[in-house]
Amino acid sequence: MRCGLRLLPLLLCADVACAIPSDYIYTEAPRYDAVAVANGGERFPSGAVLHIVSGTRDSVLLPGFAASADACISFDGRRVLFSGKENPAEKWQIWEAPLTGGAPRRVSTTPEDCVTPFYLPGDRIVFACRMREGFQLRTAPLAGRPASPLTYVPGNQIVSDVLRDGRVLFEGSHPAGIRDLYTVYTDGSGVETHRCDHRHDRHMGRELSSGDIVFETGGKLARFTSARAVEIPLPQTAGEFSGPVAEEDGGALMVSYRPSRAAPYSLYRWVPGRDEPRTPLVANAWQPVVVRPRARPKIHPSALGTREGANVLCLSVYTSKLRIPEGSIAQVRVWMRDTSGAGIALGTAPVAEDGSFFVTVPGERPVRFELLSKDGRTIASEKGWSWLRSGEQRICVGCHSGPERAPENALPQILVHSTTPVKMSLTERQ
Amino acid sequence: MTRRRFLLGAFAIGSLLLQAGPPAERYPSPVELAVSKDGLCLFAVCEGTDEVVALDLASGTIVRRIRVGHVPKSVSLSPDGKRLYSANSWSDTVSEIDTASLEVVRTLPAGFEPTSAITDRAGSFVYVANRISNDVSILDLASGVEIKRLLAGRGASYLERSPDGNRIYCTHIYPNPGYFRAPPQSEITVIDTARQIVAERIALHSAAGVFHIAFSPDGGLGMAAEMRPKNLVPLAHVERGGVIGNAIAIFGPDAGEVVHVPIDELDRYFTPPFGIAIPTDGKWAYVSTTGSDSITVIDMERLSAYLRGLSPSERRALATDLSASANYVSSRITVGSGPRGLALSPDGRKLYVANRTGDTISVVDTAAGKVTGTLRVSGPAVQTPQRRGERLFYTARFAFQGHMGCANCHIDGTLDGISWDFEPDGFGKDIVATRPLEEIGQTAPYKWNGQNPDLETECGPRTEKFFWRSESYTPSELADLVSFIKAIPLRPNRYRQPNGRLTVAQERGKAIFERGQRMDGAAIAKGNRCLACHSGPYHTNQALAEVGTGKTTDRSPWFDTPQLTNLSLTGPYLHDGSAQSLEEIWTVFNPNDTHGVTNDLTKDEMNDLIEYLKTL
Repeated sequence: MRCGLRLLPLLLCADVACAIPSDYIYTEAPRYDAVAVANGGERFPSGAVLHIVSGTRDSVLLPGFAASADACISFDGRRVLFSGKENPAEKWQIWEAPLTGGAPRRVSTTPEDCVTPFYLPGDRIVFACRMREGFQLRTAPLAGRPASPLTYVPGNQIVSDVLRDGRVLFEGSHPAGIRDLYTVYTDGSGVETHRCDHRHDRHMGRELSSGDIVFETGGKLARFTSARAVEIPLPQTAGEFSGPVAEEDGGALMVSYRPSRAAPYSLYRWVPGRDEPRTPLVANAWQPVVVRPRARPKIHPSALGTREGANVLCLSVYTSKLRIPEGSIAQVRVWMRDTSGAGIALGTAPVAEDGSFFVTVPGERPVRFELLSKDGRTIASEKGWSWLRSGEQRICVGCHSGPERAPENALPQILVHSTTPVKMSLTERQ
Repeated sequence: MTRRRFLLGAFAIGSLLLQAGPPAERYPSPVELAVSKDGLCLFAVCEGTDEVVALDLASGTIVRRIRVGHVPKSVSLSPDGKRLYSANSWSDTVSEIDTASLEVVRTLPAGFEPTSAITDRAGSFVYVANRISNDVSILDLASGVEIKRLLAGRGASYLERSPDGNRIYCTHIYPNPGYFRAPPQSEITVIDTARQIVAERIALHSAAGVFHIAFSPDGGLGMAAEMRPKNLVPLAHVERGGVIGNAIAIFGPDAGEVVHVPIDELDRYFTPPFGIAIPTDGKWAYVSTTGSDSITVIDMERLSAYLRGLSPSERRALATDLSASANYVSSRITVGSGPRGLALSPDGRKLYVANRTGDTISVVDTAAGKVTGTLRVSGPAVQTPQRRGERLFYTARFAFQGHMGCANCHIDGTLDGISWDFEPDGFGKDIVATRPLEEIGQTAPYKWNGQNPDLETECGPRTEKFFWRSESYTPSELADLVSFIKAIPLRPNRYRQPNGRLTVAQERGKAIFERGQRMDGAAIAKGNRCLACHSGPYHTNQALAEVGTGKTTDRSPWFDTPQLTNLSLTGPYLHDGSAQSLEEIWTVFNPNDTHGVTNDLTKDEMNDLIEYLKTL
């Protein structure tokens, strides 16, 4: 099938949304292992090939490539960014090809695998690259160099989408032992979980035209809406979904789905809530993307200052889903993860009566916070590592307060005591 | 008024005026609406063209343009439907219009900057909210005389009558003077219409910028559109409601303690909430959000049920819960540009929305929940750079996730009456008060530290990076925005006498302002005289000065000398808003006579100085 053409049924289902199918690209693969990346493994252990479908004509998009996947269409709809291997023994690299004809161009030139590329505004891209710490996100000019790190914690992160508000949505490990969706600005600042209802593995979220983010979780599809702090299941089906979805004009979703475990994953068009996915378009297919122009996300104007380290102002440790008793916290301890994986205590800082604290932490290093009582007992502790960029100034509404919690309009007492943050850094001995 | 009568009475004259179009090619800028009692006619007050425009709702055509006073801000119907009242904010008058003849039959005097005028239930008195004099005038309609003036809060602006007519409620666009670095406090002033006294002041904690009020049909629930700034928290990012919360304050016997109900979401904001309308069946509340070009539709049954299910502590925490609106907001309806005032048809089937910067009125089918028509109030066909800039000024679409626009803090081009802590200088440092924007085009440099040489710098990269936190204006958009800001006019100064002369007290104050000697005859150093810095047409030498007002949290004690035009309106004072009144500038913050020599003044002399300053 790799070099040939095949004709697909032109679906004219009852749904208006399905009446005029769009051109689309998908990844054909014998196997797709969505969770493999959590361990730094290969998502396409048996190879993968990008196809483009135009009308009823299905053709291999990049005949000269041994493997290709992860298609992302440019904002003008004329180019495609993808992960590819010219030869089977090569590592995955990022490539770009014109959709109107012309030779593909290699964008990344690293010795390790680079996958899940996405266009950013301003002729830049974001992708995941295998590093010593696992897959890490990188941004780079579309011209290729120099690449800049976007993530700074161990584990495997892969890009999931670029949201229209300019943030990068990515999939990463959560200390609860699951995969979850995170957002980060394109300068690496402001990282946080998109929602704090950590329940099941969440994979490959995609933003729809409504602003909802649809993702796969446990073989089902669910979504995050702007209005809710928790995931909302999409109408249930008998079978299983896999990988990211694509939205067509009119709101129909293109999904990779299998009606039963015995069936192969195939691409379907599906309008959630109307019916089960019915007629497969093409078998052994994942990662559909619609070929069309789309709105360019906004550019994030980085406000990173030139100061050393990052300032963190927590407004109240008591604003928390953890039910931390009022008045129980006297200090905050900051931990940093060293290159061997060990945690190093950088020091402690006072927590004011209202629960506020103000510290400077090292930038671009994994850090976590621990709340201590007056006698030094640990009352609450972050389980996972996060990071801040040097020059970043971050305000936390609370400690695990959830993104739905806006700040109270109150003057943090810690700023009344001092506007100078307590510096948390390695001592000479450390 | 029957439709036939309305048409006969108005069409003949109206058709002539229609050909003439609005005066002088100004943009009408409809801000408020009223529907005739029979539902056949819509009245739109257009602040840009000083008119009330009457539209026939059957045909959608303009039947009459009624010239009223300058910059009218409101239109309301008398209980019998025979009269319309328009508050003319720059004329300090109220126009009384006969709805049959569509003529102004009387012009009544009001306080400083009347912004809203409504009658009592009997139609015997008109209550007028005066934005600048911070009070409510009561005008006797029999005599046409102001019989009483009640002290309201700062920036008294919008009035609403309770369904039983026993109370009139007044909201305020500015918070009351309070304590430095404390949450802003606004109020709803409640007037007993029988005794014509202030019966109650409902405190709105942490609100700044409160607009319209509406009531449930039985009056048990009142709803006030409010902004809830986070000005005490350093402005380091916008997400998670970091700068402003948009909410409805719920009050009244069915609410108990005031509850602040957010209308925002986690990733989208609807700002600023301005108009509210509740149909007679009480099932829905419609809220216009000016910067978001939308109407938020609240399901009142769901809201009531949701509130009933919350504990008192949960109710108090509700204002900061961005996921709460999912429990009672049923939809958002996109309308025209800059929606402000709302009016419902008598049967509640149509909602009319005044799109101020679009010069249109959206017609919403309330059952379908969508716009089914658009009425034009006419206006220039071409959008000038200045008008385009005005739209940019009011829109929230440039801020991250549509969080806010220029007008959220510079309300109607003025200020918000509070102080902010911006990020670049460090948290808790360089606290700054919002400055008004009227007639600032020639007062460079900008910012309190004078670091921005022009408005292009002030509104361009700095705003993008530290306020909007998102990709912002193109160069041409920035030029449009600046052209609008430079053209924001200075409102009339109410403290000058019509004859242009100063009062005796003002004359004495002027002498103090311009003096070169202390009261004991000793010379005042030239650099420490008022005129040394506060000179020129805007009473600023446009330079930095160190006058001893810096705080330990300020990185530099040098500040841009502010212009003094319309000074009485621009509090709180000093760079950080620490002086709650003009007097405090010198009685509290000038202990060593470094901000001019004032410690030799008696109380009366200080009063004279202030009386003069208010005329600038």
